[in-house]
Amino acid sequence: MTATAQTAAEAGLVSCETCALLSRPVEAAEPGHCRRCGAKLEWRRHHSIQYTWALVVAAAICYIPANILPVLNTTTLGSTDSDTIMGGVALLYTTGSWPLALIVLIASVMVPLGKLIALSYLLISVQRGSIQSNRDRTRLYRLVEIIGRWSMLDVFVDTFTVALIQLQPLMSVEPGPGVLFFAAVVVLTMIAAESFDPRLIWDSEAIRRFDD
Amino acid sequence: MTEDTDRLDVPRATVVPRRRARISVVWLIPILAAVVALGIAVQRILSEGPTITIVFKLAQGVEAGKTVIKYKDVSIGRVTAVRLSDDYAKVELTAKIDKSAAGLIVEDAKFWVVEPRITLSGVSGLGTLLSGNYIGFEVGKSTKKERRFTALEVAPVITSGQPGRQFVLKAADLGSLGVGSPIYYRRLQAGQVIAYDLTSDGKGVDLKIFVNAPYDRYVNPGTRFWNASGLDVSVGAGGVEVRTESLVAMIAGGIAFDTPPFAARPEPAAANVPFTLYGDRTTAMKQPESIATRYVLFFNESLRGITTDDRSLRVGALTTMEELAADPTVVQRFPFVREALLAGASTAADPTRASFDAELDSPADGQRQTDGQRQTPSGKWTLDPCDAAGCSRCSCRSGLGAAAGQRRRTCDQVEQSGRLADQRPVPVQLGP
Repeated sequence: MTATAQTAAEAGLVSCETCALLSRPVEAAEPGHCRRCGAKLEWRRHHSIQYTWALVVAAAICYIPANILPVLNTTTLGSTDSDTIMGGVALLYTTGSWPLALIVLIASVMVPLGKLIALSYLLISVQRGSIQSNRDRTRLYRLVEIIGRWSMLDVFVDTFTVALIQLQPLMSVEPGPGVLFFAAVVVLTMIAAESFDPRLIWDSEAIRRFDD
Repeated sequence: MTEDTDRLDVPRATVVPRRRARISVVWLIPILAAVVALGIAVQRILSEGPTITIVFKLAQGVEAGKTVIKYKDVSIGRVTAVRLSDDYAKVELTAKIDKSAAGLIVEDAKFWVVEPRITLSGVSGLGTLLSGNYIGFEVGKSTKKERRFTALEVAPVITSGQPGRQFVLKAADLGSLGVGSPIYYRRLQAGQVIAYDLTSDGKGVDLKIFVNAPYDRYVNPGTRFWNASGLDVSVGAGGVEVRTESLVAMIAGGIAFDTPPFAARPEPAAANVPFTLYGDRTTAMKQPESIATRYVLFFNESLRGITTDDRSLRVGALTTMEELAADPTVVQRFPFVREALLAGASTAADPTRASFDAELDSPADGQRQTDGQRQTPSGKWTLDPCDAAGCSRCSCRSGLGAAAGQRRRTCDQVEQSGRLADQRPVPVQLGP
């Protein structure tokens, strides 16, 4: 795909986001509904950049307590241990199961952080009207969309452990407040990725072409 | 709209999304997130208790992040760091105390390591076998806040809230007693030894005991304490008598107390009053001790055979050997004193420096003279109280010495000579 490719909007057409049918809009302000699947047509997602920014910022805020607060409170024989995500990684690593430590590190620390950085990069580059490496940015976007849900792994493990280990009074596990924030980070970044319109990546190019 | 006519205008209008739109409600999400996160942060900071440092000589089984500090078996904090002190001589623990317990951390609060302890008199700290050692805490009475503490080496036996009173027992030696040794009253356990220490002059042992309520009200100024350790076996005309307080006391040592009827006082003794710890029940409960007066005796002839517990005198017993012969005035005027001591005071470690006190049992002042003139196996002797005019300190009001016409000294002088610094001395000089 070269930089000369025309966008649908340039051609005065609008694609359906649900079934990808290319339609002619009823009028510029109100493109109308998709003839095939009935979904509402939009030139670009409504307030895409602002929405995405808001969600990214919210996720970034939640990311701090998610890492500081404990995600698991383990009570063993009367003494309570609180584990944060990084604490769990360190514990797994020091107890010798480094592959597990690596999985948790990637899934729970690097992926959410990577998503935040990737989304911010996409937003900034779109806002600045960058036309550099558009294809790579689109790929990055797809990646963010795909891996988003995998961060829920951590929340899943957490809930699993809490449900399984209730050996009162010997041992019991309680979820910590950190896991709420962690889930919030994952959910918010997923919605943020969803509200970002990747078509915006190509628009800057179209505008430049038009200006020329 | 047709493609060819409007083509140039339409894309331009649609390509650029409405960026200058009003602030979307979606921004409520990050605001909400920030508020919640800040709220938690503020709550954390507000609920943060004080961080304290406790210096231990040895922090056995204490682990950073695991060891808790417990007060009344409730966790009030946790050790966050363990490190050696700067001179490597001690262990410094940093602990975070819960906000709710911050008010307990005052100047005279006590900390110690609780570990399982198995002694003859009992087992304690069994809970630590499962949960590991923890740090015991005892609240103080002060209101002044403090952040640095020195830990006790052993757990205090008595918690501050326990009703009862503390007394001091003066003993010649510790015997088989120790911290935690039981105190019995009519064979009921009424308290414990909570501490002991050598007296500052090294000549005895002070035991601190705690008598629990309600037994503490049976301790009055006339109460006698005696060492109830082991078996007290006496063989007499009436047969063999065996006394013991309890099996535990027999093995692990113990103290018993009782009040002889003649000495009983209605009012309970004040806390921290010193009592003498007698060796056995018989000594403790015998009557005359309560009005004993201390005398110094100077003998003009050899006291062969007199020992420190010579009962043949019947008026008392020789109790202690003091440094007397070192006093030049004594030696000059009574050259035989030294010899007498050498011969009689066989218990003195160094006979050349020995002297002795005699403790006379004087039920009444008037009887003293009679006692003094009594024939003893070792010769004649008379009494000479310190001050015939009525010294208030030694209670010799009868003016016994005046008739003898000898040099008299007041209590103060006796004390100044350094021979009898404690007790209430009455020097008794024997004229040639």
